[in-house]
Amino acid sequence: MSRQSACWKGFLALLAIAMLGSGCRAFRASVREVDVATAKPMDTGYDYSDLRWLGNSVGNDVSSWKTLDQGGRKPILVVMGIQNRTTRHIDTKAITDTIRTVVINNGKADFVNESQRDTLLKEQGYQLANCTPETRVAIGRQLGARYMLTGSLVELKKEEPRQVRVSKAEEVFYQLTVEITDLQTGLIAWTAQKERARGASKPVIGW
Amino acid sequence: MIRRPSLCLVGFAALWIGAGCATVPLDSALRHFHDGELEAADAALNTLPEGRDAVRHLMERGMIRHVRRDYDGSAADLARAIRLEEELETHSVSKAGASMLVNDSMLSFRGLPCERTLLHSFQARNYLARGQWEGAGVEARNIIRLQEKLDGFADDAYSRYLAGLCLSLAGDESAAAFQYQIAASLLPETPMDPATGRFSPATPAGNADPSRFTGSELVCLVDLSGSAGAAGADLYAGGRHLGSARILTDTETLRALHREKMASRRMAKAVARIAVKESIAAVVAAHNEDLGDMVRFLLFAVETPDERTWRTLPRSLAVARVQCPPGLDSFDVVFTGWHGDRRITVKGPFARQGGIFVALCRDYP
Repeated sequence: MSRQSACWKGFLALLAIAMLGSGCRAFRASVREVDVATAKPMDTGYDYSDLRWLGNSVGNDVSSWKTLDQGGRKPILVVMGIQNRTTRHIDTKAITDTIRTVVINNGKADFVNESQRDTLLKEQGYQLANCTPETRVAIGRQLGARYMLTGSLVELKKEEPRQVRVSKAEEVFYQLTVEITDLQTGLIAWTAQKERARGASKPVIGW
Repeated sequence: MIRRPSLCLVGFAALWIGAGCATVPLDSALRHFHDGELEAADAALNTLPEGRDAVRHLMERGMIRHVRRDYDGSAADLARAIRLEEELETHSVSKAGASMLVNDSMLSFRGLPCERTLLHSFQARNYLARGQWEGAGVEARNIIRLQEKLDGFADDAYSRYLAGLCLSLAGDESAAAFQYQIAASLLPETPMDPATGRFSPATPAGNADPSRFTGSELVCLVDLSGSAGAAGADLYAGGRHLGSARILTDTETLRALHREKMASRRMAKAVARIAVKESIAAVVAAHNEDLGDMVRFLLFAVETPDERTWRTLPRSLAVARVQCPPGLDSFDVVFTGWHGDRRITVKGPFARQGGIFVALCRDYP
């Protein structure tokens, strides 16, 4: 009995030393700054690194589109939304906000104010998400824009088949397609596709 | 030696209490719900428990709020239930161990595969009711994702149809047609046009012929809760019969098919659990026969089936798709059933996308 009790005491003492040695760090809440440029994703889900990469790369591509250079006169663009065709409720407006910021900062185009656009849509009994392509073109023309920016975000997911395993791997592929329509001709004047894929595995068994 | 049996008994008593239903607020909410007291039902689930029954409580409150037409509140609850359910894909060793010692109610509730799909279906309806077509489209893709990895479980025609409707309203007509086509193949007795999802007339007094649809269309998602005894529903506006609702899924039949599929797995686990319990009782009885009998009694007293299920789910899920009279601001739904007919008025404004109006209703006490 006394030998057993000594064993227990020894074990508890070791545990206490280990906890003190680690400063009980694991038990404390902590906050740290994260560098948005180098932060690693936590899972396959769409996150801010995807938003930054997609928005900035499309924004830079739009800026380098030759047609926007009209001898110092900046064309006017209207953003008519990016359709979310994924299985997650993604704020695609944040992507167009990033694209717009990049293009404006590069001094390549002016944009129709979105509140002005939404007011006109509301006056005509529409929401941006409910508009047909024809309505978007008509609204864009009424707002005095030369070009209209639209697009869609698509997600494809691949999962490991059912089998005996301790972790489950999945790969998610995102494709952003952005189109710029010339509102005078109604034709697509420019388009770009950006792709991003990510793989991750998560344990099938946990505590 | 005296302390050990006492500790054993305390441990088993704790397990027994743990295995019992700590669901008093849920029972009260369900009682209020079935009595038609929706506000009281919602209030009874004001504080939700964490832990193994969290998903079930969220499903029930989400449904109560959906019926109350609190679509924002319902969407928040169902979104949380979906997130928690996805986290439960990682099997908990500790809960699995406890379930081998007590019963399956020690495991976190995830719902049957069909209930997990219907979770997305009702979330899609929350988006439809608010005219948020893109959100409804997201839920439709989740329905398809779950239906495509059913692994031998029965497909759900209503969820397929709803996915088609949501995709069509979100502007993805080709994907919608594919879902309508699957729904049509699951329901050979309900003729429908796979391209549009419109139903063909079944009786002379039934819905209008799809080819005669010229103006706007009203899609009414009709829920028939088994307790109210309704077996069908007809839509009327201005004294004119607009059409009948078609039952696409009987949730009890669907759940029975899913339970049947899981029965062999559950049976194997129950046999293993009984063997474990008998071994534990035998080990205790080897030291103290009376205590062994007591342990055996306690272990087998908690050997009860896990009957947790989504209780507020309607018995039948139906859809009426009819020509919409011009300037429709309300319409009547007549529920026909064993207790006679019952008429309710569904008032607008209705969510609208192009020429399609969407309305929801439930035969509720």
